Formats: sequence, structure tokens, C-alpha cells
Amino acid sequence: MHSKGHEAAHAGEHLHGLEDMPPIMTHEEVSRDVIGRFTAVSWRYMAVMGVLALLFAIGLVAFVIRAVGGFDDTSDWGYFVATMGFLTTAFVSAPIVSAGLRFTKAHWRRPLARLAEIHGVTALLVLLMVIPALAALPDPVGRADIWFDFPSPDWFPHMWTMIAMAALALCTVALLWMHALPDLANARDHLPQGKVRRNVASFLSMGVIGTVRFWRVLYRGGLLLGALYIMMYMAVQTILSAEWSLGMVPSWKDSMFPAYQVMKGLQAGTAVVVVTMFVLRTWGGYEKYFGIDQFWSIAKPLLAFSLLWFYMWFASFITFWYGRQPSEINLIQMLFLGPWAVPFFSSMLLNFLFPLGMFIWNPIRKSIVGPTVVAAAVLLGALIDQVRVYVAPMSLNNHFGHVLAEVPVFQWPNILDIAIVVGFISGAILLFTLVAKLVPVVSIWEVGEGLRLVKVRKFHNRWVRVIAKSH
Amino acid sequence: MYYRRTVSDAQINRELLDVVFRTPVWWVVIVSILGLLVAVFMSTFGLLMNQGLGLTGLNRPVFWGFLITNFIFWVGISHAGVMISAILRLSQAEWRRPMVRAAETMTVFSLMTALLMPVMHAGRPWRIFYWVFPYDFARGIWPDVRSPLVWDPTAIITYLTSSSLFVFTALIPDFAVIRDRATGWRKAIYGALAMNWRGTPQQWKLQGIAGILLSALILPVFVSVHSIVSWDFGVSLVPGWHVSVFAPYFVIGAVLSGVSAVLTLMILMRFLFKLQNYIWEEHIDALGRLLIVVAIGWHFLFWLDIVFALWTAESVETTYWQLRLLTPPWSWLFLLFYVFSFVIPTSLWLFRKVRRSFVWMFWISILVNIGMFLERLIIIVPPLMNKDAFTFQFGTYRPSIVELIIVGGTFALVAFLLLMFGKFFPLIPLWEEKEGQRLVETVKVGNVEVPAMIKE
Amino acid sequence: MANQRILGLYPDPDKAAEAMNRLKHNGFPAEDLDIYTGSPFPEGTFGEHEPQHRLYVFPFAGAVIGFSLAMLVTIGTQISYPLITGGKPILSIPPMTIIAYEFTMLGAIIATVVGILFESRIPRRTLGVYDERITDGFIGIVVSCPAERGRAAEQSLRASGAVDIKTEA
Repeated sequence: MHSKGHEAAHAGEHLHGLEDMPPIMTHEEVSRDVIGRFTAVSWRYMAVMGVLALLFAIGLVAFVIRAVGGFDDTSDWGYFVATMGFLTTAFVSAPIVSAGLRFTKAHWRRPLARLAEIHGVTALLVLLMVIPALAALPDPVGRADIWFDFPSPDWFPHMWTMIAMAALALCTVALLWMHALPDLANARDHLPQGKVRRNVASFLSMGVIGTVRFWRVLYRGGLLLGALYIMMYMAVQTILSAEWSLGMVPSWKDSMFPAYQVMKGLQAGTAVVVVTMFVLRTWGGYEKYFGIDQFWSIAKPLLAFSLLWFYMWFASFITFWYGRQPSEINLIQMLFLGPWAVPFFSSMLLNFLFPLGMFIWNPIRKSIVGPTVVAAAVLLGALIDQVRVYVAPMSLNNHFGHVLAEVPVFQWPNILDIAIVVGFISGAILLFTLVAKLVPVVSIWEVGEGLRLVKVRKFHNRWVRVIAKSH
Repeated sequence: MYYRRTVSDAQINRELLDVVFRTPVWWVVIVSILGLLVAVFMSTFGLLMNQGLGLTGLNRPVFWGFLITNFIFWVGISHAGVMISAILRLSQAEWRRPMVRAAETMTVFSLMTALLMPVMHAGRPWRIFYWVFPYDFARGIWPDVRSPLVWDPTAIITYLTSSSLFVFTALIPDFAVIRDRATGWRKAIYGALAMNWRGTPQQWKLQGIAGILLSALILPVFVSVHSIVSWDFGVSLVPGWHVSVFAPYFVIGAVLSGVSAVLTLMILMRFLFKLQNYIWEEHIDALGRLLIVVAIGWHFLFWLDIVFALWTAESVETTYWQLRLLTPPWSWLFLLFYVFSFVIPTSLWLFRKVRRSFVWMFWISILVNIGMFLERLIIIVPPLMNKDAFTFQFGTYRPSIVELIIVGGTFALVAFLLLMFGKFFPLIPLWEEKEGQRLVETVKVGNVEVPAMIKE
Repeated sequence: MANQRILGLYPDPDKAAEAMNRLKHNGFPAEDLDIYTGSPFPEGTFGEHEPQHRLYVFPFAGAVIGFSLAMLVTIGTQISYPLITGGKPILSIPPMTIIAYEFTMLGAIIATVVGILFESRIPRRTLGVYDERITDGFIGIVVSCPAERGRAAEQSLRASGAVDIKTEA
């Protein structure tokens, strides 16, 4: 804390309005601090990496054992697909948070924009997971399929899925890289000569110099890529849910479902950002960047997404409940009230009731721990929810026909499933920790820009923040 | 959104209350014409009550036609008002100030108008009461709360009450301004409405909280209202209506048409009430950018509706989509709707020049709403024209002149009510404008003064 | 002892803030000072007494009332007229949720508006000491004090540049 706050305190003045002000640093201080943390590799970091790598390796082994067992039985692959769905829902959606907040020009987004974009890199892992998941799909002939028997060679529909996923992965990497360019140039200029990291930064920054033209392109390009990313994310969620969830269940016709999954993605993506902020703040030494302002502000969209998620669920539920056709009754049994009731009600509790009950209280929103606890609950709920929506359809015996004749029993995960779920989620976190050493986890230039645009000044008898928004 | 000129509080009072204290000739002329149209509308309503629904074009198998389409249309328009003002208040967007009240008022009036439609459509409106309100203790016949036709009035009454209270609460400080300036009977009336408001810090603080808290409470209501309206269709088993995505699809469609209507209204207000100092290019630009996002979201759900109608390739669904997409006149109505409410607007809104032109934005916003009216018609009527099992052809529907007069009359009614409101109350909240003026600042970065706002 | 209310009128917020400081310095506690403005200022602009309210209680109370009414109506009607329609059981929860939701929100919103009026202490019986220039952007500072301190208050108000002083017994 510095400047105005101190001045006022020294003068013994009434500090009204200064209580919530974030600490004010200079651009240079931010740069030195973040680059310093970016370069340092602590034993704690190495230990975490080790554990994550081990878990991921176990997951990979489990996956190989599964693959050797063959791809004919879809129920074997339920948990694998659910993990893929969860990673897409939680991690791959995180860049939407930064893209969306960039559109609204919210200043509080600045410190967290980067970490959200780093999470998007998980799309690369999902891209790899799509290949075996496609192999596990039954023949599309005789069942509903998002490509509608498009006249093409057998493998071709799968190609569309791969192209969509690859485009998303490409876009997220481009989004991250583009917004990291100024910070990579910063690392190139400030790391000691001869260090490998400096050479990497130098290579990745591609000789960027912050000219007027560069900043213009960065600003415009960032918005454009962000918009593209959001639209592609909608498409990918539609494909995933149509191929591995809706398409597996005869007569399950639910036009809401892809939108429901997108909303789940927004909710879980926001939650991932909150939990990551908490981790970086508590164990990474970044408490100056992730303050009350960030947690308080992000709690509101998290609450809104939780409500909207419930709304979307209810809208689709009431349509089936009221319709009461035999296949709809079976569908409700399969998804909500039958053997999968416990997972369903747990996710309802964790993803809707708990966030609602907590977040209507401003003191809880306006804290560090409150939003973190809610976000962690949301993530757990999202995992359970994705297991429900993917494992139940994949566990059906018969994916063909006109009606859902039988309600599938609950499928417990076996040891391989658990290893796969834990392993691949660890893999996503491992990817984050690795990339966080490739690009700084806090966007130095964005925070610096914010410092120039937010001032504290006296307004008659109190202090206020003056917030500028450049167009 | 930053202020271009410094205006004193007194000047804001003078300019924005001009029409309240002085009746312009244009107002008298327009209100008289609209009044005449409203009279025609009400007479037609009377005629319809007297003669019965045979005057409409409704006949087997199509029993929901223009009146219900118009109901959905006006409920849709009513959505933007509160949505715009609530979301912008919650996000503390500075550019909300000149548009919140007009938008909220439009909500109230279009909702009242919408409410008239099912009343007319019922044929014998007095009979609505016993299936909506639980009052019939004598005979022991009670409303069936399991019917979506009971959810509907519940939701709309809630929404109408809430949005009226919302408008009223924010008007109190402005009543005080008029009270302080008026004389005679006017002073007495506005004084009573202002309830001796004085503008203490306590009262202003509560006004601020009211804006946020009521917004937070009304937003979920707003989402529920159009969802419930959509369930009138969605929970039935009619192919083409029994679609789970209907609720959010209706809501976001309502936002698209409603925000466009706010745009139309803002531009008209600027022109009629001479509000050039308060409504600028930046405001319609911001609305335009918001509309791009809304239109894309709407398109996603629209697309899901089509994709999943064809999903299981059942003939009941595919034949009816053939009717919608490939059989005239529905096919060209569909084309018009899609081009008017999505293709033309979204592609033009991408250009900054268009977004900042009042003329362009005015006509585009009108186009969107023509398109959205057609969209509702296409959603409602074709699924009811179900093919007869033995004649293998679709039923038909053509609106009668009575229905056309009623639909046209609703536009006159809403415009009439808005102009009446604008005569007696300021359409732009005075105190919000004054507050906005006060909070303008600049931050100097190098050689530029970047426009800024003071935030608490 | 009868309290007196004295209003000082300032065209300029700086002067008003100065007057507040002067009054507090001269021993008039912040609780006895009130400010009338024609539009909201950021909280604490004049160093005023921080407004207290319990508005948040109202929506909860309203929600409870609304929800209870909804339960009464939905349960009551279904039990009094137990006719199965469309295969929906008597006391169907999903439709009851919808009606309960609307009633709850309606209750919460009406109670909030009542709360706003109540906590704003309007309607009031009289306007009291007031000046119409306040809604033109002037700032009024009102001192409540015992009659014998009236002169001191008036002096403090004038010393900071009040353009007008009004007194109410």
C-alpha cells in the first residue's frame, strides 16, 4: 500500500472510501515482482509437478490397459469420456472468462486474464483424448448422430469432430500466445543472458516491440480471437454432447442439452479461475494481484451462471416431465430419479443450492475464502454432473432403436476408471503448471495498463477511485 | 459513456422537464391521432366480445393465431426494458443513465398490452377469472395449478407488479423535482407522489440500493416470465412445440426484439423530445454492440431448435419443418424473418459507422421487430396446422381484418401510453443524469486525457 | 427542551463540505447534521454520519410470506379439487415450484419496495425546513440543535458561505 493511502493516513485524515482500495504499485514493481516469481523454481513447485506427473502416468497406464481391452464395449469408456467432458467443461472454458471480461473492459479482470487463458491449453489434451473416444463410439448408422448421415466415407464424420476440436485448441493457444507476447518480450529483455528460459522467451516473443501498431493489433486481435473462441466453444460442446451423450440414447431428443453444457462450462470455467487464483495467492505469493476486488467481482458471475445452469436444467426437465411419453419417463428415470439419483442430487446441491445459499450474502462474496469454497464445490459438482451425463448414456446396452426401452443401472467406477479420472485431471493441472513457467501467470502489461488508468483522488471529504476506460 | 458538456442541475431540470410544463403542438397532434386509433382498437375489441371469436380467422385445426402471436410479441418487447436497466444497473454501466426509465416504462406498457391479448382471445374474458384466481368458494371449483395456463397469469402479474414498482421507486426523487417547480394543483399532486422526499444521504443510499437490489430480484422474474410463456407451447405434445430449448430460446429472442425496441424508442425520444444533449451516438453504439452478442446467442439456440427437430428424423417433425422451411407462404415468411432479424442486422451492426448512425439504427431496429413478429407467427401457427390423417393436407389459417386491426391497434396503444407518460413524467431520470454529470473525470496518461468516472 | 432545525443553503459542494467540518469542529455531533441534495453524492462526500438501514430484512420476510401463500394456494386448490388431469399427480411438485417461485419473488419485491419507503422514512407528514433550490443543485445542511445553540449553528453555517439560512421551530 502506498501513495494516497499513506498520505491520508499520515495527515490523520478520515479515510472514508479508502478501505477497499487495492494496493497501488508501479508498473516497474509489478514487472520485477512477476518476472522474479516466474523465473524462480521452488522445491514446492517441483514436488507438485512430481506428484502430478506420477498421477498422470498412472492414468496413462490405466488408459493403455483399457485400450488393449478394445473399444467395442461403450460402457468401458464411460468414465474416460466423462473425464474428457469434465476437462472441456471446466478447464477449456476458462478462456471465455477472460475473453468475456475483456469485452466488458472490466479492470478487475487484468490480473486473472492470463491464468484463465493458460487453462485453455487443456484443449490440447482433450484433442488427444477425442481420438480414442471416437474409436469407442458405436456405428452411427441406425442411431441419431450430429452429422446426420452426411454422405461421406465412414471415417469422415469423425474427421469433422477432430477438426472442430483442433480448431478450438489452435484458437486457445493463439489467444494465450498473442496476449503473452508483451510479457514474453519483457522476459526476453530482463532475464539474464545465456539462460535457457531467456532463449525460449526470446524465441516465443518473435522480436516483438511495443509499437503503436502492435498494441492496436493486439487489442483488436484479442477481441476477435476471443469472440471466435466463444463461438467455437459452443460448437465443440454441441458436438461432444451430441456424439457421446445424446446420440447414445435412443429417442433422447433434447435441444437444450448442448446449451446446458455450455452453461455448465461457463460456471465451471469461472470456478476453475477462482480456485487457481486462491492457489496462486496462498502458495504462489501472488496475493498482491488476486485481492478482494477479484474474488468479490467474480463471485457475481459465478452466482449468475449457477442460477442459469439450474434454469436450463429445469427448463428441459419440465418439458419431459410434462410430456410424459413412455420414452420421456424412462429418460427422467435414467438421468435424474432412477439409479443416478444420488449423483444427480449431489450435483444439484453443489452446483446450485450451495452457491445460491452462500452467495446471496454479500460478506461471503466479499471474501477470499467464500468464493473459493463455493468454486471448489462447483467443480466437484461439475465432475459428478459430467459423470452422470456421459457414463449413464455410454453404459446402455443398446444404443440403437426408436425408444429408450430400459433404464441403465448405476455404473460404479472400477480401479481403472478412477485412475483415468484422477490421472487425466492431474494431467490438465500439470499442463497448467508447465505452461505457467513458459509464460508469466499474471499478465504484466495488462496490470500495468490498469495502474495507469485507475487513480485515487480526494473528492470533497472522502477518497474515490477514478477509473478511466480507453476506447 | 462520458459527458460531452457540463450541464448544471438546473439546466437538466429545465431541459428534461420541458414537456412536463409546456405542451408542445406535436404532442397534441400525435396523441390525438393515436387516441383515435386506440378508440378504433377498443371498439373492435368490443365488437369481438359482442360477436364472438367467429370474427377471427381461427378455425379447425388452428386455434391460436394472430392474437396469441401478438401476446408473445409484446411480452417479448416488455422483456428488454427491465433486462437492459437491471443488467446495466448491476454492472454499473455508465451508459445506462438516459435509457433506464424509458426502457422500464416500455416494459410496463407493453406488458399491459400483452395481457389484453389472451383476454380477447378467451372470447368470454369474464370467464378467465375462475380459472386463474382461487376465489370460487361457493361452488368448490378451483384453478388447476398444474396447467401452464395458470402459470402464465401468475408470472405476468408478478412481472407487471414488480416492474411498475421498479419504475415508481426510481421516480420518487423526480416527483420531488417537479413538486419544487410546479404550482397549484400540480404541486399538490406531485407533492403527494413525492411523499415529502428531501434527498438526505439515507434516502439516496436507499435509492442506490433499490436500483441494485430490485434489479437483482427482477432479473430472475424476467427470465421466468418468458420461459413460462414458452412452456404454454413447450410442455404440450404438439410436434414442433414440444422442444426443451424453447424457454431460453424465447427469452433471448425476447431480448433481441426488446432491446431493438428500446433502440427504436431512444431514437424516437431523441427526435421528438429534443434530447440531443442526453442521447448520443455512444449510447446507440453500446446498444448495437450488446445486440450483436444477443443475436449470436439467439442464433445458437435457434440453430439447436432446428438441428434437434431433425435429430431423430421422425416424420411428424420433418414434415412440419418442411412446411415451415420449404412450403410457401411459410417458406418466404421464414426467409423474411431470418433475413430481417438476423442476417441484415448482425452484419450491419458489425460496422461502427452503422452503429453510430441514428437513421440506420432506427430502421434496422424496426426490421428486427418485423422479423421477430414473423418468428412468433412461424413458431405458433404451422405446428397447429397438423396434417389430417385421412386428407393428407395441412389446415390453413388466415388472419381476419378484426385481428389485423387489433394487432395494429396495440402498437398505437403502447405509443399512446408512452407519450402520455412522457407528458407527465420525465422519460430520462433527472437524478441519474445529474449524478452522472458529477462523476465525470479524466485521467491524464502522457499527452491524452482519458475519460474516466469516479467510482465509490 | 424544544429542538430547532436550521437549514443552510450552499451552491457549491466544497463549501458544504467545509460547513460540515466547521459544524463538527464547533461541537455539533455528526448524528445531528443532515444533508439535502438534489442528486446522490458518493457516500461520505461531506463527511456525514454514515446512513444505517435494515433493508435486507425486508426481501427475506416478503419471500417467506410469498412462499407460504403459494403453498397455501397450490396445495389448497389441488386438495380441494383432486382431479387428475393429463396424468399429473395431485400435489405435483414441478408445477408447484413454478408458482411458488413467482409468489416468492413477488413477495420479496413488494416487501423490498415497502422497505425502501420505510427506511427512507417516507411518506412524511411535512416537508419541514426545506428550500426548492435544493433540487436545482444547491446543497442544504440541516442542523438539529437545542434552541439556545441555534445562534452558534447559524454562525457556523454562515461562516462557510451559506447563501441562505432558514429556521424551523
